[in-house]
Amino acid sequence: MCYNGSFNHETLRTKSKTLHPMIHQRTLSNGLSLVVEEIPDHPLVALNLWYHVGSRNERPGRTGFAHLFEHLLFEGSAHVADNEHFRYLEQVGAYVNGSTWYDRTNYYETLAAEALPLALWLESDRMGFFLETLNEEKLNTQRNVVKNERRWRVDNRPYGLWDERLFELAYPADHPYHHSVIGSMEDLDCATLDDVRHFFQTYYVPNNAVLTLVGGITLDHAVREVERYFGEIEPGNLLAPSPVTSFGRHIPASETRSDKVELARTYILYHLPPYGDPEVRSADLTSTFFANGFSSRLYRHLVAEKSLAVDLGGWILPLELGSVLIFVITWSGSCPPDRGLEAFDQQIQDLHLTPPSPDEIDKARRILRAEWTREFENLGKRADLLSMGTTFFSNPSWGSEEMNRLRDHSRSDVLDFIESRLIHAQRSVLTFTPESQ
Amino acid sequence: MSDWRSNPPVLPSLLYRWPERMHLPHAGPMTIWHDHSGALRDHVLLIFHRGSSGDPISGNGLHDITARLLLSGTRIRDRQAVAESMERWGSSITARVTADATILSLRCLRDSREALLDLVEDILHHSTFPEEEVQRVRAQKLDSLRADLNDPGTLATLLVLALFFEGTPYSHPSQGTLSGIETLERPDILEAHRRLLHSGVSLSGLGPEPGPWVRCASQWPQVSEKKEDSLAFQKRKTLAVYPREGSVQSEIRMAIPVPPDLSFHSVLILNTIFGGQFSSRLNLNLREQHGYTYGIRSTLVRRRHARYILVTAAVHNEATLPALQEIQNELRGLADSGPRVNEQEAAVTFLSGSMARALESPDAFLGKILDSILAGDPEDHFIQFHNRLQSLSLNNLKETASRLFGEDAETVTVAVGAPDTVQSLPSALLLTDHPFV
Repeated sequence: MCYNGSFNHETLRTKSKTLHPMIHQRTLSNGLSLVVEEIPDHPLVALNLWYHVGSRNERPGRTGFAHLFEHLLFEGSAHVADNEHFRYLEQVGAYVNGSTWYDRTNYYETLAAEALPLALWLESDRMGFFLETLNEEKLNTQRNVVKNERRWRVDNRPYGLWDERLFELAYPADHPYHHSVIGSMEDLDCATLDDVRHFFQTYYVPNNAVLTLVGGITLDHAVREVERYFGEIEPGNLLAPSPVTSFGRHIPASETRSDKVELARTYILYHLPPYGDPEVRSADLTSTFFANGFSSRLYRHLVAEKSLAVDLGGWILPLELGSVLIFVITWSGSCPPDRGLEAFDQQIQDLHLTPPSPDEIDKARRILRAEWTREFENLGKRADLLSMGTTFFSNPSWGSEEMNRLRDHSRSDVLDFIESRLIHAQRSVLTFTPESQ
Repeated sequence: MSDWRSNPPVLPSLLYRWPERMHLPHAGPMTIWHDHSGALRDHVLLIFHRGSSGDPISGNGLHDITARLLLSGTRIRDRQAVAESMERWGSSITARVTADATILSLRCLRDSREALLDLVEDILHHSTFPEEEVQRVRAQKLDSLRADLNDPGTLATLLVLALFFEGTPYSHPSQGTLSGIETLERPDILEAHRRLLHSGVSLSGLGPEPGPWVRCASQWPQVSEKKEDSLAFQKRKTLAVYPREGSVQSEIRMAIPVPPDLSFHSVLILNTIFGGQFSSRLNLNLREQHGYTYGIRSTLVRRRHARYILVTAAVHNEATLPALQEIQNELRGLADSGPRVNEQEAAVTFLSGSMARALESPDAFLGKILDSILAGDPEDHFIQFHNRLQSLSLNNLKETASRLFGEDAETVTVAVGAPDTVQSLPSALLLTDHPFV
């Protein structure tokens, strides 16, 4: 390979500055979906590969497996030796990583446009020829790495258990979202090479994947290159999709845990319909005017005026089987969490007496527009949004269209949502209190 | 299977392009502006060259609280009106303090630029710092710092820097210490604000129309680009431990001083090989070979008066001593034998590509520029970056490695972990309390 990186003085000026760019979609004969967004003259390309598999596809006794598998996929394949995957990409200055979530697993690289064939070669080699070099030693090493990741993210960190415990409270034991993405130490110990083989053959097939390329590449070039690298990979036999949604099966629950934390903190979860439903949009607007920013109702009341809390926020987690709206409030040292939660509930009830004004809804629309714009300013995130839209909605432009839907979403829909889903809702509440209290 | 699949694709020379600065009439030398095509909003940094190293000894945290209070009210807007003026347009102002600077990050959608300019001028010139807001924010800062100190990773970082910079203006955290924050009063803040506005400002931004922002920044004196003296301070090789009950991991931090006469580009290459990328020596050893950690990194940090390399890792309890030994082994290995030629080549292309990858998003781009401004880099820093990396010989690097990582390197290491684990480390200085109370 030749990596003679050199700078010149050429000024970067791309021609595409809009949010309605040149997006194309193609499907290879083996079922791989290809999405291309051309940004002429851009010196970089973001590659983003979604597999439609996540922790929700794990079987009982194997929690954390999808994530462990993601780690293994960086350990080499038939033509890529151990530890070489990262080395090849880092030699061209690429940013490279992957992540696992409830509904999907993604792998991504951002690199010089000229180096795209290298990324395609690596991604296709592990999609087509991963199992040939798999061995017990790799599995054990990555098992240790993932157990360390769990210690670091969850077990050794203040409030680190929050999402695991909150979802356990919010969903019945047989629900695919009941267990955490990172999984339990015991289940990680149980994972076998046979599990890895079965998982790979079931889910890591081209007809269960979306490959997105964004940046300095043309459609013709992209199709040619992707055909070259991925075209020979055989499709798999996909499982029937899991039953969609158990929305409505949730159970109200509340738990207070004593933990190694300095300040008490409460997480409050409300259930929503699957992502894409207009009610999720209402939830997004509500969480924004209610708990996003210094001028939001909740911040003004709990933090600025009453000093009951030191910080708070609210956001939606977009999920395929049913999204959730989560508020998090860190209470000040002088505020018992029970008293704080009463004040939060009062603010929720006040939404009925004093519904959001048109100005509040407009402000929320504006804030969300700025947030979506920020996503589109980042090449890698832009590619991830295209993969998401294609995977969940068979529409790569779903993200940019969502900005318009938020702009047009009516205030009356938001008011209906507040009445039906917040004021009279079943919810799950998890509070951490300091061990000293 | 195709033969071509057995080898990575041959790539053309990679062309890393860095956008030119726009040359603005009537703008001073420290105005850096680019028309970054990926920026869909205006992104602006106002950098006041006065940070927490200018805090009074008995009142540390002064610059941080002053910055936070900039949004707490002006002569014509109370706190709520300031927040509304910003958020109703989807704009944001975040103020943060580093050791060397107070930085206002300003972002707005293009159609609300004038509104944000008006607000920025108001908060900078007419903030009133009301007494009740001073008390509220001070109490919030104390709560937040207590929470930070309860996080083992944050505590470990603050501890290693406190020991490393002991006796210098860099020794306390930017947010202050508990005792320092408690002493802060409104008159101190008014004086700090007055001095801030006379400290010299740099302006950096992305967007098509710099004029309004240049006019805004021209009200303050600009700083010169002269390189400032290095900080002279006494260090000694130290391993200190802080016992934390219930820890399931040890948070390890090591600070390695960078002598002021060593070439920045040499040190940057060596740090990349040592721990600055995924395929670095440290990560391949501690993560991929031994499975001690989720990840270990080293970062070259440049402050105006000092440079150091900071090693960061969280390792499971049983691996604490072996991990420290392996870090030492890697230090010695680089000091004794220097890097290999293939490592040098890979590090140069990685760093060149990483620099170009800043074009992925406006935030990443401005981050690079901010780092360069605060470090006092010459104007041609970005354009000549690759050439300067490439001009270094392997012998240059070996000599630098010997001084940087050799036996005489006065490293400061901290481990925060379970009492049984960290107190059994040989030759460790036991910290029974930390210096942030």
